[in-house]
Amino acid sequence: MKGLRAKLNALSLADLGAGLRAMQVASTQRAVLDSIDVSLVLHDDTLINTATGEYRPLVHQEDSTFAETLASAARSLLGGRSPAPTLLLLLPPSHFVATHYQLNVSGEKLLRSALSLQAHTLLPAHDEPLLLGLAGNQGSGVALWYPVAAANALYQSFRAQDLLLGALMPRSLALLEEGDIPEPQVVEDSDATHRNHLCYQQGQLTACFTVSQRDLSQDVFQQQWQQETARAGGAPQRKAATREDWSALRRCIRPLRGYSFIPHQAETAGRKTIRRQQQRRAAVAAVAVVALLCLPFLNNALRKAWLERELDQYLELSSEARESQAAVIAMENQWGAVLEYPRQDLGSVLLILNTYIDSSLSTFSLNKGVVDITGFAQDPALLIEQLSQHEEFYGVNQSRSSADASSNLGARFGIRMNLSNVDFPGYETRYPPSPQPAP
Amino acid sequence: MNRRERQLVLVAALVFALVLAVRIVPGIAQYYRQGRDDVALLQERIDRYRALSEATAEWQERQQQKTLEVADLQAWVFSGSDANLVGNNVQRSLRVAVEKAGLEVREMNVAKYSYTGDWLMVTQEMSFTLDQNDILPFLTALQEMRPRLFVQGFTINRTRRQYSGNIVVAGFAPAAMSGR
Repeated sequence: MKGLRAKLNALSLADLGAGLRAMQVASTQRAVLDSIDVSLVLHDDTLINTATGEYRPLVHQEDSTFAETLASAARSLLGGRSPAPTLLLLLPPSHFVATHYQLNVSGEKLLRSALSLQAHTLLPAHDEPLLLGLAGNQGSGVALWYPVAAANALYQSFRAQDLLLGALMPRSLALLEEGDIPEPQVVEDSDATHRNHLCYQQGQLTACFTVSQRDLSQDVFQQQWQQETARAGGAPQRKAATREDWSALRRCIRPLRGYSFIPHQAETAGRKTIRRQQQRRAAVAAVAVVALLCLPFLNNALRKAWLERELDQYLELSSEARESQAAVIAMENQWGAVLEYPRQDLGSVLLILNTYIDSSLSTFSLNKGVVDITGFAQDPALLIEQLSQHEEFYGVNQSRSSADASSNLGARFGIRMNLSNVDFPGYETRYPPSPQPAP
Repeated sequence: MNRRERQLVLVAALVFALVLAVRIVPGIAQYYRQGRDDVALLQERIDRYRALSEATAEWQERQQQKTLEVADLQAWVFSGSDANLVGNNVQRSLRVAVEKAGLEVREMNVAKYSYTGDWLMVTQEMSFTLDQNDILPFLTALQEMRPRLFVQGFTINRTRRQYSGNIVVAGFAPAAMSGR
């Protein structure tokens, strides 16, 4: 993490932009190469589908270019498929230019930059823009070149036939074993006009020679060819010289990323494909996010629907109870004022007082639960205490000052207290009296 | 897209973000909370009705008891076509109780009328003289009176020779039948 941060800090904005662009190009090229689903090989004016072994000869017409002839043969071979297949076109090695390089740099990016800068000196005969095919990080190896214009012409011709040309590649590379093989692989690819000797090791071309068959008929050239090919890997492990050799492959050739030439317009189409994929993924992600955000609301709605159904069931189950409850409440509401009127048991109160005060009460007054008594007692304080402890009364207080015992009756007292279970204020709050009947 | 169009798009995006933050998001949150509250309310109602359905027998029994109670209460209240008539009835009942206990009426005040809910309440005050031994019989007679007279206030003063007292009782009659 620290390393990555240091790297990012060391980069300028321009570097970051260039890096992002390179990443985008690499991603586009990867998408184009991954989308390839048909490989066609051109051998001796015959176009062969490597997966099925079917083939079509090229029909040259005077007003047709090579690209148009090739596209027409491809269309005849593949028919009208929908959606249009993405093709890998394996052309004879003689269509490509191979240059050997020896540079004091390593890394594919640097090698590509260096070779692109030297293109005009390496290939002085080609003043047109070229596509570079290169793989590996070594400072020496073989670079392949193909004209940009030719690649674009092929793309457009195929496009005119409703076919999508994804990449071009020297067909000799299709003879290599797939997978990581550490040993050098040497292949020989011949046709009526050329012979190609190719050596491939650890993911990169180390030698690539192409010679005209006519030149090889001369002893001098034949000898020189033998010497050069002996130095570059020796005897070939695999050969392809006839149409049958290519038809016998019976597989769709996977392109080698470094040595695949992708027309610019195919890259553009690839970018569109990536954008479509990104848009599709973004749409799926947006739908997922919206669905996630909706989950709590959905949960609420489902719970509400469920509970409403449950409520209906309990409403039905409780209908009898509700009827009884409503009847009880109606009766209580109707008769409440009479039923709840505070009951003051006067007889009981007088009898209780008689037990503490033996016929010495002067006055007794009861008004809405409040009792006032006056009389004579030997010990008024004791009387208050005794009345306080009785459950019939609460709030027992002295209501007037006591006089000293002046007679044999005792001291004069005045006491005020409240009756328990008698609540006139509460009753009047619940049933407020009014001078007029309720409307 | 030129510079001015970009600026317009930016302003529109800012306005949208503002509306989103100030109105839409709080609105959605409110809607969610409302949903939760509705669910809680429904749950509460279900619990209440479940408890009610489980207590069906209990409520039916209470209804029967209350019906019997109300049937008893019918005898507790006065009937009459107007308030004055009810007031007279209350006075008459009180006088009957007084006479039954052997009390001597000194003064019978004018009845007072008030309404509580659907009921007319007639309050009657009366002064009397009595012997000590007449108090409890009077109170017992009062308690047994039908229609019922509820004691609101009661006062007794003892002088050297006799007891004098004052009582305030209340009687009820349906207001609809006794409009003044």
